[in-house]
Amino acid sequence: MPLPSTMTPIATQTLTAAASITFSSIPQNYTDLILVINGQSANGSAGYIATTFNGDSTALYSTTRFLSDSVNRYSGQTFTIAGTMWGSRGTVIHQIQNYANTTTFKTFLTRDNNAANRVGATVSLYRSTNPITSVTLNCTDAGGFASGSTFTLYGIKAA
Amino acid sequence: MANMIPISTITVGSGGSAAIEFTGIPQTYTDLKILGSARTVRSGASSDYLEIRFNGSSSAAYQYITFQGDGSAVSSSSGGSGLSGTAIGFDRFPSSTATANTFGNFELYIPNYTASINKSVSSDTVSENNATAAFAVLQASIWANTAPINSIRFSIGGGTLIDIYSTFTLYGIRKY
Repeated sequence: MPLPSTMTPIATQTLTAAASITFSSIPQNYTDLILVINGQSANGSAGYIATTFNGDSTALYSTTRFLSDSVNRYSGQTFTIAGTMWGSRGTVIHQIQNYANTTTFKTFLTRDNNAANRVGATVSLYRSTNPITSVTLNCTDAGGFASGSTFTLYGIKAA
Repeated sequence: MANMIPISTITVGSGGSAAIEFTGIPQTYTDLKILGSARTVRSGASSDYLEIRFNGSSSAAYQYITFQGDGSAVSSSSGGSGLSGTAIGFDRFPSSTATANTFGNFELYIPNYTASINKSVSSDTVSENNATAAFAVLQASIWANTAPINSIRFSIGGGTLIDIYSTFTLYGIRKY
């Protein structure tokens, strides 16, 4: 990833415990967004993170991923998931390119990291030409996000 | 206001070095990022790994999963199962028999490095050398220690030296 010319924090949230989190009213004056999640699932099992934009839960999402645990490799496609939380602390980094444009669908890249369970990368697509004004992360199948999980949204400006 | 601030750059000088270390890391940021370019000296080897330790600690508290492609196959590996590792094994960098003047690039991200939590690390490494031994590596690592990170050390893994011209730049990232 090229060195960003600017990386400006837009908002950060530290949870007490919740199934979901939303960043709303995202400024439209950046080129890209980076969302850094550092946390774990509340009940210790695998909690897949469903990422949705603009409150849009219709069938407009798809994801292709490749990932690995300590022994096996996988590749597959899903239609809502980008990122995973586990019972031990991990990091998920979303890079959402060209999020404010009004003419193209939105593609984003995700790096998924948990040293006890798996590492991987995904590419996801939100098939909407609407600019992204909000992002919601939902982790309902593992008791939600654990207390102390942090979420920080950065704006990236082109040079 | 830009919030990705260069803290320090280390370039390995003539003769190479067995290790480099960022010390006295300011505690005023929320996340750390390290961008680097490295090559090692390891007799008879085309690739090599470095070891990463935080706060000078070699206690068993490190664990990692590595996922890599080498141009013809993909493979997985892990180290420090059950937090038994004494360092993060950080693959893969060109070494002595790799094409001359080629270096492996990496990006390493550490969120919440001052928080009283275990430290999760995300890293990507690539080495392309116009030969068969080239790698793309994704790695997830953890240091199970709640102390704030105040130093980061990269030391030689299987080889003898980190090669001349290897560079490591530490950035601080602010949330506020």
